Amino acid sequence: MKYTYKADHPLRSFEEMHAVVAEMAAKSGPFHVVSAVAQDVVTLRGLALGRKLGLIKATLVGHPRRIKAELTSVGMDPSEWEIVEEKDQEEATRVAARMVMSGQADILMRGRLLARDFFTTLLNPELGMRKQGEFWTNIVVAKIKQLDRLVLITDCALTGKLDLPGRLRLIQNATEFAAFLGVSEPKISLLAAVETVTPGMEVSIEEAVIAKMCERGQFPKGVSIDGPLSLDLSLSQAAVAKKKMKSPVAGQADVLVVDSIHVGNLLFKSLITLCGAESASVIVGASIPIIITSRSENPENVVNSFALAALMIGERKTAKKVDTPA
Amino acid sequence: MNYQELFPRLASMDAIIARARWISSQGEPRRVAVAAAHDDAAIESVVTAQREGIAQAILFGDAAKINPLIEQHGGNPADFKVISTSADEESADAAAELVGKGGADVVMKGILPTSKLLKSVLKVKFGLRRKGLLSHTAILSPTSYPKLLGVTDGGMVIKPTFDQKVEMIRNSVMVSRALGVEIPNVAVLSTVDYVVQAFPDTFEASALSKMAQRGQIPHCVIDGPMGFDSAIWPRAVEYQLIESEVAGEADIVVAGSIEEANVLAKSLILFGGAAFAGVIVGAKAPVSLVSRADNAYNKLASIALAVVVSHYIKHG
Repeated sequence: MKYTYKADHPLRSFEEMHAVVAEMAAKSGPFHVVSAVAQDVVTLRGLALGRKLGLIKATLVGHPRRIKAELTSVGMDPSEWEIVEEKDQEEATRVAARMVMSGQADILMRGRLLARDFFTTLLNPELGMRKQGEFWTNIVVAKIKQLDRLVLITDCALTGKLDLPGRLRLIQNATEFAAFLGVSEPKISLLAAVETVTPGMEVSIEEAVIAKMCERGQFPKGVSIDGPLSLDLSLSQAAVAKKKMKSPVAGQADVLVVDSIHVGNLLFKSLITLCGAESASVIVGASIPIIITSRSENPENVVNSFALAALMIGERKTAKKVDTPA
Repeated sequence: MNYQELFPRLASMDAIIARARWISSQGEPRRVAVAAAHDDAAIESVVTAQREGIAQAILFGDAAKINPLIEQHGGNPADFKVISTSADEESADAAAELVGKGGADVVMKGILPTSKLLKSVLKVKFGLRRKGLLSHTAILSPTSYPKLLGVTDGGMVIKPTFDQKVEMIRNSVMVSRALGVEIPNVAVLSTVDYVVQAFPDTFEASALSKMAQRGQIPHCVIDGPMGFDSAIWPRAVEYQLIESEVAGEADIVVAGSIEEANVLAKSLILFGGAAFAGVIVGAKAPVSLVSRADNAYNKLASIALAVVVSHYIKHG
């Protein structure tokens, strides 16, 4: 999808993002989220908070009895929700996806099904969602308390083991996304366990190659890439000073590119559970905004994902009719 | 009485340091043999450890460089035994030999490649070699986790095979037991909580879990595959993530690669308020290594951890 919104300065917090999106929602109505296989308590809590804030309205596709039971279990009134019956999870995913593809809804959200199953359905050519040339990747946007900026982490959820061309596409998606969030000259760190090129650690060699490509101007102007870099040397100025490391990226990374989703997933989960970070998680490179929340996320983080997806849609020309069920 | 009854569970890094101090106050102080000791980080650690009554040090290396470094960190060279050696290998051999003979309790790395030091530690003639694998265990104390968390392996084994994971778990369980956890909860991490064909690590995690149930990996409960959130997040059960004895209460988490374990440990140190101590186990004595990047407290904690582990190896 093309981003119509472009921040004129780097967005540094989710508060800032929410302020922008609230203005959009005030002008053209709440963004319409459709959840596939919605019988999921994390999803429903997030949707409820998003509705309360006036940011979204929701359609729940899934198993009505289970959805109602989950809603009741967290003290919500099922009659206040629009529920579309589709008990089969694959079909529920398709129904939800088509609602967004046809423009009936704005944002597609995964509910209670494995990410793998969700994406297998979405990527099936019969659905026609993925256009030729699209390369879908996951980006987590994290606000870590100790840092005064948002950090992008990619990929924490979607792509399997990538070859070099695949990693370059992943970086391209992240670069475009950083620009959309106002960071037009992103500093990109290629994450590893070490900062030295280490025989036996394949990751470190490939990362050195990508860093060299950047030195040689094979990436767009303004983009800085360095690696291998460990997490502390990517984000901590103190660690950089201690090691006397010279690098255009070290200590100031805006984007962390991990070598596998295992690393990304673990980092993301560490940040949101034991480090108290705020986060949002979206799929980029697709023609519609797709949200996959993690089960351990609190409702605030889920709402951050709504805000980020809404920002990706941007200002809508025609105001949508607001028809939240009574 | 078993070891765990005599020495109750340690719940903080301060408690590990206090335990090490107590151990060194009983009879002879513990001794650390440092190979290639003309290294700023190593000297800073042993000077502090000596001042804090945690361990004494025998320093092998370039004496002309070692003495000024001791002074620089506020120590008195006369308090240390310095033995001049010229090459890395010579000093690594000398340190390993001394520990093998019982003249010291911990082997410590100075300014030489880890691989060189471990080569000496594994030489049969020094008597430190055991059958198993050497692996690294990090002990972390994130402020929002109610107990100490062990992470393996973020420092040595790059991409463990199944057999190596078994050995890594045995080693980390030993460290955890040295810290007073009688039956540690071990979580084998993956991206998902389910067995998924596309992720072979989920097969390995299942098999490791079964091995513990069958008593093939003793003194621990192992469960996996599970996401890190399921492993440590007390609300994992409330949020219906998983049903498991280990979930939400892991003492040790086993990662699938050095990159995963390393990024996890570093995130907790940088952003989770965790103190850190690391140790290599698998030989008859622990091997300690500190990094320039560690702060002074974490350097001290690493030596204290090695002292506690060496005490457990002898008396546990």
